[in-house]
Amino acid sequence: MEELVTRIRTTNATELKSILESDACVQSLANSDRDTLLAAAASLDPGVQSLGCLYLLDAVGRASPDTHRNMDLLAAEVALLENGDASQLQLSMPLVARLARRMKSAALREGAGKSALCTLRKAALRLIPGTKYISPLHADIFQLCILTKNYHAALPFIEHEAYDVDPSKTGSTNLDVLLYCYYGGLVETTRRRYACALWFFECALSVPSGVVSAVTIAAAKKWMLLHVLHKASVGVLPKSAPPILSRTVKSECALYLTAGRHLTAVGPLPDLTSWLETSAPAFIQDGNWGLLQLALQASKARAVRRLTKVYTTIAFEKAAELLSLDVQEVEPLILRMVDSGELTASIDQEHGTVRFGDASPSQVDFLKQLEGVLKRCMAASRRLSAMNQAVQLEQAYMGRTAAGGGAAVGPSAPDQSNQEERAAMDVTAAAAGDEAAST
Amino acid sequence: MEIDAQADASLDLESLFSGATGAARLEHLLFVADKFKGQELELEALRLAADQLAAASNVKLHREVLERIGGRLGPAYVLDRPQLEAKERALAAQSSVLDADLAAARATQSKDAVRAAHRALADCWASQGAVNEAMKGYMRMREFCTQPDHVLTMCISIIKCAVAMRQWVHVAAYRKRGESVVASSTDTMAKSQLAAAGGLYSLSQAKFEEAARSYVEVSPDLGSEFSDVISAQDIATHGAMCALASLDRPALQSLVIDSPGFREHLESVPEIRDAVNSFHASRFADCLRHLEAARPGMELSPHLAPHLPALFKEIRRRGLELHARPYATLALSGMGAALGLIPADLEAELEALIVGGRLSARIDGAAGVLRAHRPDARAGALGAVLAAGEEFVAASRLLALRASVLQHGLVQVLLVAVYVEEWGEGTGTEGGHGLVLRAGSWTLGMYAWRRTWAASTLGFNVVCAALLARHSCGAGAGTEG
Repeated sequence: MEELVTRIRTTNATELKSILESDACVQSLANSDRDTLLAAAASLDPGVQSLGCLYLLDAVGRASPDTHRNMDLLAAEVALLENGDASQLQLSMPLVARLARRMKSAALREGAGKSALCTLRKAALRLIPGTKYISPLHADIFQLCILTKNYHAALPFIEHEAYDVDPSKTGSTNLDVLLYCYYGGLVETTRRRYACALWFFECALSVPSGVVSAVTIAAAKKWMLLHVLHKASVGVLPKSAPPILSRTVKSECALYLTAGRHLTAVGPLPDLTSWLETSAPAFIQDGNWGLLQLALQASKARAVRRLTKVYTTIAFEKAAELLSLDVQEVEPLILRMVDSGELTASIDQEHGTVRFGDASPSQVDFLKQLEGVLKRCMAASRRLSAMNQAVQLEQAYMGRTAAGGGAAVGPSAPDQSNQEERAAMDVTAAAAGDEAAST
Repeated sequence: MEIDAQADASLDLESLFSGATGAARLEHLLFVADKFKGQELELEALRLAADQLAAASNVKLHREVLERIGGRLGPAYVLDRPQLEAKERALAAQSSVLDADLAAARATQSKDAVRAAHRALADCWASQGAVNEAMKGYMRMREFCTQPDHVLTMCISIIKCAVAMRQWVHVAAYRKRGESVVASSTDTMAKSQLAAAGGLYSLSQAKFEEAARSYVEVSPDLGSEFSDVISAQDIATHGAMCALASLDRPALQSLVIDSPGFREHLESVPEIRDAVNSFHASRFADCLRHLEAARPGMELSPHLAPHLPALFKEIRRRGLELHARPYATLALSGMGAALGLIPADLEAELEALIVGGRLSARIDGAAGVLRAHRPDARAGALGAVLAAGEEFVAASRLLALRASVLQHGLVQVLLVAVYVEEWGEGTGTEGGHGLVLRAGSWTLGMYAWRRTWAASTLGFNVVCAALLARHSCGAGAGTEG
């Protein structure tokens, strides 16, 4: 162990990585006891010998059962993540992701979720090579934001609009992508940015996969309820969803399909009391009871908005009749919608009527929003053009088009087809440079 | 408003169906008999049908009608089996003769002779009620047709059979074929027959505008030439109803009001003519009143009856729309009186029009008026632009993410590990997550909600190891298209 520590202190990062990943070293670390490893890690400076610290702490973490982790290990992990040399740590991002996940779990057990969140945020901002990359740290950050109820902390990472999942740069796996989408959707749902939340869940449904995971099913359930809430319609799975998901959703999410049909029925709101009573346990178990209640309220709000398209002034009694509500429920419902900004109306209590108005947003707001959207559209367009150009310049693509399509790749050769696809879709430095220019 | 039992006594079926002949008249009568089963009108319809069938060759249908009458109309309408069997034998003999004629014609190898023999045989079958065999017979004429009018005759014969059997696909196909034949000719009779057939087809599909445009092309010179398919009165009634329900004011003016041909048709149905004139003069209450007066007769038409509720609804809504269009503010009470609607029905119709985007107005419930509403088109356009922009950004980001996942091979194909973690606290919108991973046909069902390492048994470890080995040997990624 001393020899290893000496080599860590004296060897440069690139050589050190190959040494630490050699079979002999891996075996040696696996055979060492926890305290020795921890002492060796403590003797190193995490800001200077970051890579060595990383491997040693990773070995300590693997050797420590969850129940026996101590504060020393947690402190060492936090110090490494916050102060470690970014250039060294970026050489081994999968290990960084693993260590960060262990640190997060330990911190949550100790009730130090907010501190872990701060650490992970700093680490993500320092270690992820660009804002376009999705890393496992994102999923952990989003999860901590939800558990500690600090949703604003996720904002910078959501606004980055990341899309690249290069495992060599971030250590991402398929599961990390799914969790990024799922937890991102939860954060945006809680912030009531439903359009953004729908995008995240739709991403989770669209991630290419040959199997169905519980994350995807959970995302599908939330996506269905959000679709009803935000778009007032039963969602149809995106065309890019894997075929196996389409088959699975019908059996796993049948209750949600029924909920969607009930809540989007044309005409007066149906009486769902008995259906809610029988279905409540399933929704509560899935953790979607709150979202279902929001969807119910949204369907009532939608019915009120439909009234504003037909009436300028309406009596409470008439409104109650059209909305299938009691007369006493109409005024509070309209007040709530006016307060939340969903409705522009004034209530005449003397005559028992409501006058609906037209919301007219300021032109300045419109132009500002338009400018922002146009910028993002142009950036997205440049990104797509760069990807298209990169595909067209790829050897494999040019070879295939020159051969007039080449040999047919059937379903029995998924490896070959996917390798060719990967080669064809390889984004060159032009795309990376373009992204850097746009940010 | 459907015909009630009290009103049917006043309906004179004989005069109502005087314009129809042959198969069309029989169809109408049997439709009435089915609609008024157990009532006086049923017997009247069956009597008229029996009278017609006694002079015709459709023995099978004659027998059925007499059985339905069941002796309720006296001895003149009792089933005489020997007489009917004798008639059947005679008709069978006639068919045999025609068969022999066909064989002889084939032997001569004369196209004209074969075609005529096919036609005669098919006509015989059609008259005996074997419509399916008749249509096949007419279709066999195809290869022996040497002149355009041969093709035309064949098409019209097939159309008649297809209408009787309600095979609307054949009606549409042979109408098109017939129209391509008569396109360059001046045969108004054939064109009118094809137009009338087209109108029936479009009406059956509830395409009212197409039906109206077809019916108005029928020349009054058609007369009773096509009355075994549709009578002149029906052409007028169908065409007028479809026109009122679907054509805008300029089209109604040019195709119906100012069309001398169709006006002549309308003279045969005075109530409908008055309804069209009232609608055009914006006297919508009068129009609806005339139509309601004519409704009992229209309910007896097998082609029109199924679509009457939709037609009436659409005509009422068009009337509302046209009535409200010129006004900035309109009292609902006056509007209801003008259209003959009670306030509740009026509001429901207005709501449907406003929500459907056909009326740009709002109801002021407090003042009892309808106010014209001019939506802010600029704000709408800007909002649409913003929405389109956001949609483009979201779609392109999703595309880029999927491309990146595929590029880097992060496509999970097999069960690799089962890792479950649960944290009980949540936002109320979620609580913990579990993982179920299925591998091909191996549904391992490891759906666990508690913090646990699912690979806890040796057996499961062996399974995982085997699957991992299979995965690393290149079952590979990218089974997803």
